[in-house]
Amino acid sequence: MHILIIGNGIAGATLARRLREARRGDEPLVTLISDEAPYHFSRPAMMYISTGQLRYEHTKSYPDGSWDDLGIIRMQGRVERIDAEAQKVHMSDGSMLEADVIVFATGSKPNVPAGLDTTLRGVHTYTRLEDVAALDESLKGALHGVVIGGGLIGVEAAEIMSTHMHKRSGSTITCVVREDGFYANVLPREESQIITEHLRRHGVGVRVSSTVISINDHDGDGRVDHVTLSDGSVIPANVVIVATGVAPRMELAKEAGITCDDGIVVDDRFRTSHTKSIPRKRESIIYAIGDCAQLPWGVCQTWYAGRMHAEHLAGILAGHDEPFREPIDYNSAKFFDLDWSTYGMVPRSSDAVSSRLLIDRDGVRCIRLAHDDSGCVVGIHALGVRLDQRVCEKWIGGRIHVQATIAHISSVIFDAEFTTSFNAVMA
Amino acid sequence: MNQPIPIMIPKGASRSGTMLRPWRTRGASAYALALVMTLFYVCVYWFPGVLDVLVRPLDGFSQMLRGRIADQWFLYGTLYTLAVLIMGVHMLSRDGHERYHRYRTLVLMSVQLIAAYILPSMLALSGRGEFYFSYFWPLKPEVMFPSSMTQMMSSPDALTAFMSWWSLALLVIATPLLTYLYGKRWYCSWVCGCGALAETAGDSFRHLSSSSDRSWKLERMIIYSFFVIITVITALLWYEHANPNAAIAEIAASANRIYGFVIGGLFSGVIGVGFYPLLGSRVWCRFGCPMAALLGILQKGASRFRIEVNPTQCISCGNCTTYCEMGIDVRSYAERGETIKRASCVGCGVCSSVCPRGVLKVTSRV
Repeated sequence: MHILIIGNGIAGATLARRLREARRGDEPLVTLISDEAPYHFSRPAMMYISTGQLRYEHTKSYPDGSWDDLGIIRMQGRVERIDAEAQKVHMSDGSMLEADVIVFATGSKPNVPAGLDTTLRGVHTYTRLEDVAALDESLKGALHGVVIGGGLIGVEAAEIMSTHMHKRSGSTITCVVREDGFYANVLPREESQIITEHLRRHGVGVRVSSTVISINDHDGDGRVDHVTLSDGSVIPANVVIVATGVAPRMELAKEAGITCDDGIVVDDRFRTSHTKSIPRKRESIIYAIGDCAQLPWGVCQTWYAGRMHAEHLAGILAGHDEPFREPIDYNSAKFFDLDWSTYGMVPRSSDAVSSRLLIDRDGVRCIRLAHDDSGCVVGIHALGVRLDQRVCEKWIGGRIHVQATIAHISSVIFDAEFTTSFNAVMA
Repeated sequence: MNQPIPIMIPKGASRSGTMLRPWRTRGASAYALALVMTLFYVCVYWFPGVLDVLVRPLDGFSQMLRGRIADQWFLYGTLYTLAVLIMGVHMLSRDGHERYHRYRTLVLMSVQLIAAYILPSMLALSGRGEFYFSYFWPLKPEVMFPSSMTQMMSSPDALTAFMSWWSLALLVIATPLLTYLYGKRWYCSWVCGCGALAETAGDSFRHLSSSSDRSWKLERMIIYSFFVIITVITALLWYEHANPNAAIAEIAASANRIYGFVIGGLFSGVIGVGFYPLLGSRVWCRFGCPMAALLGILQKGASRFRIEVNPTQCISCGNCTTYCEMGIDVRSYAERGETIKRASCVGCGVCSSVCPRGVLKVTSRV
């Protein structure tokens, strides 16, 4: 059986490795196609290449030789078109591959607000490895940075700019955020305020309730020199990072006639609409996993979900026909020095009625426990405190009462030794 | 918009820019630096005359501190202590916002200044031999050799006798007990002078340590061989002490001379420190130090110390592996969800600090 995986991000790469780790003899044959990096690398680590803390080599999760050792066929190139009926993949260089199983693991592409001129020099998106080198070039000597978007890529962008620009006198970094606080489309008000203030303390200007209406090149040299905001104000900019979210990359699937909605629509076994039995042949199925897949409960564009999908599909392809049940999702990130992690569902509308907020005396570190009407914990997140994912999962999965979790709050904290202990006051 | 607040990089990003500097990434300047440091060590060990121009100005200071004029070892000790103190302050300004690093660095600096510089000098001033309270067998093997041990223990001077008992107690009581309770870090990254230099002046080079499987194999092969060699030499000397035999005495003495030259001089100094900018800051501690071998065996076999992992949150970024000065592939353990128990881990805690997702916890708590 030949399994062809399109995309070597966390979903595609994990699937390829799990399939070959569990191989029987030579079966299955696995081809991993990438139009990005020759070897899988950790995408969340990309920012550390930009800050000069790591090199691309360091972000490769596995030794180069291990791919050959596992017998994974790696291919560099772009897929041009997929013939779903014939299970054929046409590459942009004219070559063609045949496969028994095709898996879309094409990830996401950046959203760019309509009407913004992103073709000017100095204007970047930041999702792919090649963006690192391009941004690096623009950051040289840049004095004024503008980040459009107040989310997880936005804060990475601001941190990258800060490491390059903090020694240049007169330099400015401005984040333009549509909502009334940083990451306020996801976080409850208090947390969003803490982060907004935290960024401001680091010298990052946060312009809330604002949008960029145009990116301008006033002197006509082809490079951005300022941006104009919705209130008419003008901000100088030598470098702009557009970080207004990402959308599933599903053009190939669409063109192949596969049903797409917010993402490539799949069932609870990651099967797309192209699922059929061919007489005297194995089933012909096209799957989709990771950012690009839309499960019955929706799209989940986190790195961790991509890994979970891959692990599960590897099991299915090896013959364990188990449905993928909606997991207790989790995610983590960093807002400058503040660790943030989230487990289960903490709605942004969380308030004193539907959740408990524990804030440390420092006014920054906090843990929020969201609960349902009966008081059972349904979601936890923490800012500036490291939590143990396994304990959070147990609490949420076990429907533990919020009072009980507060009483045992120290058992969920995973802070490093000697860290000033978390002393919560109830908010 | 005007910003009254200057742009500040996050404290956790203290290692940003590391990969952009040639002197920290084996560029030409790194080779030049290594050459200068290596030459300095060669001079200290074998051509002290060359250093006279640096030694003589210290005569007055040495006279005051130790009651005798300076020699190359005094110059070396002074520069070493200065490097630990100055770069210690640098380390504090960078990572001191974390308590673990603050305490550890302050202890390292104090031990170096007091136990390895001022106290030995004061002992010399009082007419006794220079003695380092922070070094003992097998890192400083001669303190356990029969000649010095019997002599010191039977000394009419109470302090001299105490020093000998102190060395013995550190080896047979403190070492197993403290290593059981806290891991080898109680010595390697909190007390030891080699560790003090590595954690301060050497910190800029910690990412140069190779994390390949091959270097791990090499490490195990070399470090345990050295430990066996010094153990055999010590045992031979004691055997000969109990059963005097000129031939054995001669063998043990020449073995000890070779050991002193190859391991004490060439390895710990010339390569161990001179090659910081090329091989990283812990080459000696990782491949050569017999003390680290002994502590490592205890850490692996009889210690509460480990690095706990919160594996599902790992993003495989590689910061931990890159910044492990001992070349441990920390990430591979985190990805597998395996608690890390490695003989070589000195417990510096940097993997946990550079982890952006709260995956690692260095601990010895029950």
